Amino acid sequence: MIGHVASVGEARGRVVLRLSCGAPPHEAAFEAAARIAQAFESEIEGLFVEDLQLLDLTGYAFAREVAFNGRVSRSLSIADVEVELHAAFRAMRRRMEVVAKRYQARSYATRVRDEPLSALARACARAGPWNVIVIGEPFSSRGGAAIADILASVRDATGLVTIGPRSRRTRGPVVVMVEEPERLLSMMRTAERLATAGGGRDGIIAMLAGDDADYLAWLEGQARLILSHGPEPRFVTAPPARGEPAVIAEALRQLKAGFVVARFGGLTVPPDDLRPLASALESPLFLVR
Amino acid sequence: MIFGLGKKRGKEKEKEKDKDGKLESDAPIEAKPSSGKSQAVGVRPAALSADKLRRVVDPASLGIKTTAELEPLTGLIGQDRALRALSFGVGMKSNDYNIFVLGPDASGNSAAVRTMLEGLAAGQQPPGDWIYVNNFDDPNKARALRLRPGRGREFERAMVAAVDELRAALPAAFEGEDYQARSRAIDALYGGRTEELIQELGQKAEEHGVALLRTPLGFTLAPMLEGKVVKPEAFAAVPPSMQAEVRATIEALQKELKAILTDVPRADKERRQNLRALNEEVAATVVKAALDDVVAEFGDEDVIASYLHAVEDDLIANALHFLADPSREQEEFSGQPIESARDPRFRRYMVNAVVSQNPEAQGAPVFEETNPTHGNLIGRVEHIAHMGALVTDFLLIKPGALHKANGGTLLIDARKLLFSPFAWEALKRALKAKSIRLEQPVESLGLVSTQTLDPEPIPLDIKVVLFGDRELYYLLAEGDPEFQELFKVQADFDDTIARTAEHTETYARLVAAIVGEYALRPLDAEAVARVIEEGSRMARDRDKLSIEVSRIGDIVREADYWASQAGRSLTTGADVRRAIDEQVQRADRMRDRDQETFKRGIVLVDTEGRKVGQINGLSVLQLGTFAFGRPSRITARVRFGGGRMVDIEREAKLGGPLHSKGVMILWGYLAGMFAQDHPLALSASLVFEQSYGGVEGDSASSTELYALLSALSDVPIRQGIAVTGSVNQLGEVQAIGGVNEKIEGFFDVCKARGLTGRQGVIVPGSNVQHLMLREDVVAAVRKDRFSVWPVTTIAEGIEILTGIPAGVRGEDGAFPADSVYARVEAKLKLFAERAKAAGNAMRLAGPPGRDGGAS
Repeated sequence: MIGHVASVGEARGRVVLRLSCGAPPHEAAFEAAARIAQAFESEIEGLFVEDLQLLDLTGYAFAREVAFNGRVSRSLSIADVEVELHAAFRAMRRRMEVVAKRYQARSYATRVRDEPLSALARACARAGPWNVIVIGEPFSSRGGAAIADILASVRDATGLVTIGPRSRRTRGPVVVMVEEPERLLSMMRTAERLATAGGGRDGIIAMLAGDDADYLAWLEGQARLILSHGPEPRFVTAPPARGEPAVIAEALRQLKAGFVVARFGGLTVPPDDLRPLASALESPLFLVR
Repeated sequence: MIFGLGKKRGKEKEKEKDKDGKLESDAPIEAKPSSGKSQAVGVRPAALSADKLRRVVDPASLGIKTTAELEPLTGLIGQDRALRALSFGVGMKSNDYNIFVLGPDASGNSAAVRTMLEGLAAGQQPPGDWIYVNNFDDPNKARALRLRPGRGREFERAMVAAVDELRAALPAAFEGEDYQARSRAIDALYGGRTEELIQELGQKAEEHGVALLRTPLGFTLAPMLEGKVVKPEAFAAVPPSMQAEVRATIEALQKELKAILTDVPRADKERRQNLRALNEEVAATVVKAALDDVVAEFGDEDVIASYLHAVEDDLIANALHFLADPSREQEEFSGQPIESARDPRFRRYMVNAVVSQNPEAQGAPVFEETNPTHGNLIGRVEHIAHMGALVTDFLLIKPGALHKANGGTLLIDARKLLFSPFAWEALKRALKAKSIRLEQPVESLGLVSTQTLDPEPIPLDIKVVLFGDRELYYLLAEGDPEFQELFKVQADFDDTIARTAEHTETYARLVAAIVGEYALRPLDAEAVARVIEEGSRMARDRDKLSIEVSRIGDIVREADYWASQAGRSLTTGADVRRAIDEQVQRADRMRDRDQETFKRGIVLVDTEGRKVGQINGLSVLQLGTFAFGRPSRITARVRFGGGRMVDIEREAKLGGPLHSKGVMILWGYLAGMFAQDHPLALSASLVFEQSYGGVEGDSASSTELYALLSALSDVPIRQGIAVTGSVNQLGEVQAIGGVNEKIEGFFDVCKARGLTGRQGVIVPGSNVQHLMLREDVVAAVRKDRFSVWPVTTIAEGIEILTGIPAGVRGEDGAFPADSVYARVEAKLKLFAERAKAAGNAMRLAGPPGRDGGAS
């Protein structure tokens, strides 16, 4: 993790806040990026990607842009699109700077014209492997595939943070989703940094999630063993999910978490259906590979 | 009167002086009896004995050893008229019967008046509290509510407590499972649907080889191949029929997209309405519970009940303000939660108790405003800087003296009030309108462009008591018609009181009060006696006492200082004397310089010998609070002429109108006395020698007449005598002011040159009652080194000055031969005959004019 980088003085990692030229970013995404940067003594790069496909579109005489209100449609010209993109970039940069200042985190914005996934991969590659990606726009119920694509394509990232449409807080206990013993230690270190960032005293909750009681008991034993040398978190057990992610999502909501640290592709964050999380999660989701 | 005994004693004294050879070498010229039946009897009055020159207080008569034995005075001395006026003014329940306290020492009186007014106010009903609260309909017009005494602060605290409770309870309610579940249900019903429809549309488009893309301002559709938008040049290579098909598909999808997006606002509106209804339902429960305690405690006050309804409605409508917490950052910084009263979100629910009475207090308030600026009087709306602009709200309304004294009495120093810009006009406006309207003075000048308030005026029921001197009162009465309309009661405080035995005792208690107030050493009986005597000197009247408390206080405090310097535990008479002397010494540099001019012969004043047509007049110089007397040589020259008297002071434009009037009266006296049957063919000139400043007043008119009579009669005047007093046409000598200073001024000059026993001052008999001379003057008189003669007529005065009787007409109508008047008459007759002989058509004595008669 980039926390490790900061501690040992290696090349600094970054929080890459991906800002799409399409869907507007969620305020919680700015907050999450700033909080992580503060926690890991890192910096934020606001990466505004001007999708090349959008520019290609202007070559079609019949292509029309339908406004969000549905009442206005117009043909697209390259000049119009560039003006819109420039304005959107400036607005997002301003929002990012305001939030970053509040958290005393350094920030800068870059604007690239590329295919979104490639742009993200290139940006992360520029500063070495220690990057955390924060996706600006809220994930949708079917956003799992997009997350999987990013994690698959962008190798120079140690984690990815995404926020749900109901996200509204970044303060509160940091919940570490423990579904298996692997990666528990690094997830816990991340949680510690987030919990104590900026002098905060948010607690850490280790939520054990599994399909049956025996597994959960074994998992708790393993977790306690792994974490025996550091500060012990509060252990809670999610109700038996029986393969239903909505149970876990509701349990997370009730904990009023400020951050959730989880592994992508598990029971909490299934790779295909994010609907339960989208309807319940009120905090950013820090995903590790 | 004093003259009966005094005359005899005076004659005896004169005889003794003759025996002792103390009279001047050029002995008085005796008047010979006239050949007819006229009288040559002198009318010279006796000099005053020492006990008439200063009314001393016998310390033993006070019956105390020190002031510690006295009960300090708490009220006012001998001011029945003023006290009745005050009592009447306070009793008159009307906004225009305000009181103006007239007196020379406003500050000294104010404490005593306040004590009295507090006594009157104690029996009155205590007024209620006044609070300002937010006006939810129009925040610029804050509401003023009246509550029972002491309830304002309680209500203020109750509202803070209610808001504090809501800060905890409302977030808890909105975080609760019940609310969350219902809120999610609404979101699920409306919010997620649009997104799903767009995703479904995107999926459908994808199936038809069309990409749905987001732009910064909306959505667009384009041909897609293998998950990517087909480049236009590649699309151009596709057969036209296929292009047409794709275009048709895109157009159809666009229509669907439009339909979905057009429906978004309606759905969103419904979602918001449902959510708002849910919010209000949840908030109403919590808000009502939080306000229950306040309603229970204050619901009996009608105005509060209606206000709380408005608060409840606003809280429910704005409950979400309690959830968002923009002040969190500040809380994190300070480590302390922001008080509700300071949190901008909740200020509208706070209470500004502008007037809060002590519920235990009895009676109406009596408040003194010592700095009556416009803001301190009427109150002010303060502002705070926010984002570079000045903003305000009803919590920044600061009460003024009118608020604090409302329902009672307000005491103000009138001079300070008038010197405070806008304050006087604002006070009058408030009194006339019977309400306190907060208006910044600059507003009326149109100089304010920042946000301000127009709070509801507060009804005003007040009695204003202004303190000022008489000059100020008459100035206001003459120059401001509204003044008399609003201040109909004048409480006229005398600056002096009669020096009776009762008042003397009270005066001693006043001294004891000063000692107590300033924690001074007690005064012994002699010190008190000296203070009382000084009170008479300040009053310039032996039978009066000054009640200028501040000046008396100064003497007592300074005497205490000198007692401390001398290491005494009691303040003695010597300390009081020293305090007075030091006061004089600190102020008398000019007097010293003046005395020096006499001593060195720069200013010519004779104090010995006799001279014709020359006399010593007396004047008083006032420098700040210090006044001193000084002699001036007055000379008169006469000659045959056209009936004209030249007042050189007037001709040189140095004489004031009163002085000129005095000189004109002389002409009338001469004409009436000596020129009944022949013209007054006289030309005379009068001058104050070495006088380079203005001369005003008629107190030297008798002096000028003596000089004129001397010049006409060729009888010399004793230069060791100075004269003061005005005269009328009948030759009667009238009272003047500053008699003590004048006598002391001449005494100082004589003393500097050496007292001879033949020196003294002639004063009007009616001024004897004002004599409170310095102790050293009295001592000199007691040792026959100086004299003070009271006279009632010119005849008495001229006899003292010349040693020759003035003369009284005998049955034959003639004055005794060699009397002063006989000589004067002879001279005037001579002039008249010469005039007749000369056949000169001189203008005769008559009403004075510029070129005829006196001028």
